Amino acid sequence: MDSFYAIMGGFSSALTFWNIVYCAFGVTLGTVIGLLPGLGSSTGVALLLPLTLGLDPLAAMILLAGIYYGAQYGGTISSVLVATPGEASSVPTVLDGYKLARQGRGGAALAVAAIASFLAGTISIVFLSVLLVPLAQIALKFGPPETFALMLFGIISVVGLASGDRFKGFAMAATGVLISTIGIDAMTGTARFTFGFTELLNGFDFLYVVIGLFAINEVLKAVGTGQPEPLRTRFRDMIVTREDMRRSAMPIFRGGLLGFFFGIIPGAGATLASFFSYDIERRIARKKGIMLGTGRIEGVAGPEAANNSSVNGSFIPTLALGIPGSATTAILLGGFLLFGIQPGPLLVREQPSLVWGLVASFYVGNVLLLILNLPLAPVFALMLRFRYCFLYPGILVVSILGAYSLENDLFGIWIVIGSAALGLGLTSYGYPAAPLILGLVLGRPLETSLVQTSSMGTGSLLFFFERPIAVVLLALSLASVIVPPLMAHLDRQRKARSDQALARPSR
Amino acid sequence: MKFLRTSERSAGEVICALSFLALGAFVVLDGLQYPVMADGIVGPGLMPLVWGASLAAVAVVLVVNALRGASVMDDLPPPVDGENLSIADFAEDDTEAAGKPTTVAGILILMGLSVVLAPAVGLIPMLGVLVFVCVFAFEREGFLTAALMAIGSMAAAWALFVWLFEVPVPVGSVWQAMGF
Repeated sequence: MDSFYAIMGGFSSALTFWNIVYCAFGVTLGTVIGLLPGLGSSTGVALLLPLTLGLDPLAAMILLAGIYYGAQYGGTISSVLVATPGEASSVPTVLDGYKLARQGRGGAALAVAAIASFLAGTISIVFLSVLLVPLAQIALKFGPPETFALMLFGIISVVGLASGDRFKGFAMAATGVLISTIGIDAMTGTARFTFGFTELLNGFDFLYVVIGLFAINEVLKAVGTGQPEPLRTRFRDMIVTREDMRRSAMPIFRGGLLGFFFGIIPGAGATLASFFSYDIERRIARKKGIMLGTGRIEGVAGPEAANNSSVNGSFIPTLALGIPGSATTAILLGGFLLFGIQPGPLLVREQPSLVWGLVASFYVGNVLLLILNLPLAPVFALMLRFRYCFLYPGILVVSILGAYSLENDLFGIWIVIGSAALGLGLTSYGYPAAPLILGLVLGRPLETSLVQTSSMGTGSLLFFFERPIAVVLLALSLASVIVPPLMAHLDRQRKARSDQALARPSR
Repeated sequence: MKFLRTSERSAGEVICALSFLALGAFVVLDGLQYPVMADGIVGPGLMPLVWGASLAAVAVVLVVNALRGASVMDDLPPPVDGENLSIADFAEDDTEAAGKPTTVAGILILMGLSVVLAPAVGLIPMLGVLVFVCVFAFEREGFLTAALMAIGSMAAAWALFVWLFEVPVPVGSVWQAMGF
């Protein structure tokens, strides 16, 4: 019941004129960002974050969160009409969505995707409202040892789940943590790794790295790659049949639930959620003698529901624990810190109007996105004809000026250029960017909680073993390191055995 | 989505892994000047030591993997339909090749030049030059199109950052000397 009153209070904050305007602006901009190949929600949030620093924190977060989930909708449009997902989480949508578009049913695919996203968003917001407070109350029992263990678990689970090669993910996370140690150490006042540059005494602002690693890096990857011609869709094609909705109902429900729980797990995120949803729908359809990947509406409804739901789910660890669930929420977490707000257990209690206003804005945003996308998807689709060669110079200009405006200092732009160049080299070889950002954002608080723990244990880190929750979290961190490679090894062995068994009869 | 050739990948993988190894080793060695314990609590040297050593250890594995060519599951061809997909095919940070090398290098150099020349010429005019060169030279659009894009970008940048957000963007000593 408390949650009910809290969310009602949130609606009263979110439904002010200006907050609705910021929400509408955010979701519209997010849709455009998501549908333009080469841009993603993390790029959009990274670009806009410096520009929102003058706003009220709730308005800024409503705008930025709007970009995040608006981009999930936008990614669907380019997936269905151009077979080019604007977001990685929209990749499974391409498989059936583009085939539907080629069969002249692109409008129906877009409409079902919009409805699926809205319904799944609704499911996930209900879960979010119910689970946020209990989780935060549990987390309130956390002291420095538990906080340290939780942050370590967050970093390691992101490394374990978000990328193909865990070693590369760990290398990036460790680099992020090491970058966070640059500057004056808060405990002893020692200047570390500054090499005589006074600009480095305050450390690296993570936003410089984010702008370089996401916004400019994406431009450098995309220049000169070309773009396929989009398929046309019209208003009258947006009509969804009763049969479409009947076939989509269960995939939407399954995708909504699956997406939410994937969103809660740090590092799993929308991409894995939409893929798993597609995989489940593929298996269920196969049992009915239906092949997904041939232009089936179920293949659009499930993944779209999952990716939208996971976005809302990913806000639970971000808001309640201060552990981001995805690359974009890692940037948003940094945004909270820039506003002087520390996400974590105390946030729900100390800033209820901010937290519940933001949660309520998700619902407002979902309604706005449905209103926008059902009739206007063909209009958004026209933007796919806008050539990238005219788009990226603008992104460069906004990135550079955005970076400059953070501290009104040209030195920051050098960090942006360096991050972009290094990021381009590393991501070209499969090094994931998200763990570096997470390490950079969590590095300082991780060290602070470690120092506080050692102080509580009068210099001994064995104090961790006197705290059961910290021990469990450290054990989970260790398991996150050991179990995935072990499972992969067992999976390879199982595959090898089944291959051998298949090969035997043919001899 | 473009994929790098295997030989290019192997050399690049080794260079990346060696760079991480060098970084880890440097942090450990340079971090030795900071105390691991200070006043009976964890000192400023512990985090660099632990994370630097961990990075170096992981980098050794990456170097070995790169030399064996074993770490590149991404060399597999991209999936063509809904069957036989794996989670790795949808990794958030998919392995992608960079754009045209000359354009990439050109953009990075122009960005650097913009910062170097901003105190003299102004940041927004330098970004106008960046836009013009990108559109005219790299994208081979017409002179007029490029010029209009550059002027439009400068006007939009001025309106957004200088007029709306009141950011004190460097205006350029040259223009100030000329009385502008």
